[in-house]
Amino acid sequence: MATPSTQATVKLQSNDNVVIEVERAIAERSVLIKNMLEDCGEVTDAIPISNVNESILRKVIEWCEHHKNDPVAAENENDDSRKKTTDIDEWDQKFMNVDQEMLFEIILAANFLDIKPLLDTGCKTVANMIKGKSPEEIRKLFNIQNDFTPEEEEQIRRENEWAEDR
Amino acid sequence: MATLIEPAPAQAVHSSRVSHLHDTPGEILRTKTATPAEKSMAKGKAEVAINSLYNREKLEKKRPSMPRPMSMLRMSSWRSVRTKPVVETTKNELGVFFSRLPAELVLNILDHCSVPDLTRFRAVSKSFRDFVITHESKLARRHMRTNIPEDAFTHYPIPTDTKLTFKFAEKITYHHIVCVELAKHLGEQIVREMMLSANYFIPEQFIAPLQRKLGHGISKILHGIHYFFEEYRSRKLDAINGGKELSEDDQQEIQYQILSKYSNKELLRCHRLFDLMVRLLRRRLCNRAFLFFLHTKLFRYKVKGWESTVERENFYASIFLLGGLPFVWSLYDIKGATNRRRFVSKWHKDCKRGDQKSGFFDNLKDKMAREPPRISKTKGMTSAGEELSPTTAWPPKSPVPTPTNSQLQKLPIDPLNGLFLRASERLLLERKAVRSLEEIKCRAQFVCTLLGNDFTQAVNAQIDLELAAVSEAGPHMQPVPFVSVDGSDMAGFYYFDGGDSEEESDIEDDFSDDDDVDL
Repeated sequence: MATPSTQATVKLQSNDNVVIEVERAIAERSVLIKNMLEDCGEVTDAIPISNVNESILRKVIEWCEHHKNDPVAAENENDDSRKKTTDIDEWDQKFMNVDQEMLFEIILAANFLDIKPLLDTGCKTVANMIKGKSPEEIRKLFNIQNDFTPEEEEQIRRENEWAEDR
Repeated sequence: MATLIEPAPAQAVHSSRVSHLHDTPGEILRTKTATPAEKSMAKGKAEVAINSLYNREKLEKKRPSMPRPMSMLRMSSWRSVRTKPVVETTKNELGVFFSRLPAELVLNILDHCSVPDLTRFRAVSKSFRDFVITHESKLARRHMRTNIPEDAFTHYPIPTDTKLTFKFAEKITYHHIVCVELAKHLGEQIVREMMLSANYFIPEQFIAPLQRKLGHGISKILHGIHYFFEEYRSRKLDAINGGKELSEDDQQEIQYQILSKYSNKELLRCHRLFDLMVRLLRRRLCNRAFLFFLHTKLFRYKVKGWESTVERENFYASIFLLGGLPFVWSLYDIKGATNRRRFVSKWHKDCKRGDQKSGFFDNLKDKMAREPPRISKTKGMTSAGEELSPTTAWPPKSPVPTPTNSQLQKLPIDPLNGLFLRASERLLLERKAVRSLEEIKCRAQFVCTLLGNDFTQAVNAQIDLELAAVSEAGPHMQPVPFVSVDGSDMAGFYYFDGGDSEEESDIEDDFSDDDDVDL
């Protein structure tokens, strides 16, 4: 990093008070931390990441390490890049192959830490879980109660007929 | 409750990142995880903020047995959310997965889904439904932009000033699906016919790309044709419901009016494709075996109406006029020419008879569910060839209301040659888009245009290579050029070439039973 106050590493503190030391470049995948470091200059204390616990933080760091050389996406291609491509590269797929609770925590953490590519990967993973599934399958998948009355359900079924199996 | 991760950090995330917290279904569901202390706090507040969903929820918790008036059960009302007590499961309720995410993130997830996915998502539970309905305009707009190609909007422009409804998105998506799926079938059929013509040898590896390429080109043009028939049918219905008798001239006039909205280029493309499509449909419904049996009186399946040419023409016209492209698509989904003819005959009869019984499509669906269906598409089936379940939507119904059979019954059927083609020819000549009608009668050339120059050149080059290899091995195969760029070498495609006179010669022409070559 070319900034004068270059630190090799930064310390991140999870909400269960575990301090993890990571390379600064890796930590800076998170826009939140990046901005914080830019604003504060030298930070020797551990940065508290108040919303993320240790296991999730480690998971996120793992992702950042793997993706540390990815080019940072330009802000303006916001709209185009999120076209409905749901292809996720293989490593990410494996990375996201965790239980739903974890996946959900990763998404929230990515949102909080402002790591857009990770957030998108997480959202795509969830989207892929929904895709092509019938309402009943989605309910099963996420353990959701069907709270429609039979009449309502019948009406919805008729409305949705065209979309089935597409 | 204890199994849920602490609500506090989640709360912090929400409030720190998202301003429109109240939009999340999570807000509703999270109340389930509220601690007793929070609940008692809410008790006091409940009366004050009666409109706040959060508190409303607590109110319900307080008096779970309170009878609710029916009107409160309406689906689209926010208030109806969670009217039933939810069974607590030992596992984390990951319906909560969505519910606890900030709306912004749920939207991000849904952005990656297609409109049919969203439609199904909406049917999962009330909170999901409410979420989609709350963000209807935003979701619909984004999905239109990413999922649907420009061509679909030529005649159905996206409203910019008003709220975009999901209905609109569904309608366009449905049209798009119809066009894409039908185009796929047409592309396959064209390639099949090219191969059947036997003069043309297409290497195996080109078949799929050829079909894709054709399908892609055709689907763009089909939007225009689709629009025409939808619009023509509804205008005709309007006129008839207004008590007007439609003469043939009136009908032509309506067609002319609709088509005058088209650009020259589109009109030309649609004209050629429609011509080709009628031709392909004829071949889809007729085959030589059928005609042979018909003429030798050995024909066991008396399919009414197919004996005389006039009546057959009438069928084709009614297919396009009453059924439109979705019906043509469903015809392509049926295997076996005899099945298809029976299907059309029955459909036609039902249209004539009106809605005395339940709708035709319902009947048919029941029938198809009982009998092992011979539907060529395999999407809904497992690889083991599992039977279609009765819930499989087939034939595809439009998400927007379509005229019922009793309405259709009143519609006068145009003669086939008076449908689309005559009006578009008149318009093309008037606009001087073509010098003479001869120019637009070349089907082979049209197929070539669809394939594009680069493609045919690449195919030709590849074929040359292959033929060279083949002739080295033994010169038993005569090298045949595939197609030249301008299509002049395709004169051999007599299926596609020539004028109307040749249409009558079905018997010579229809030598192929396409059942044998269904891919």
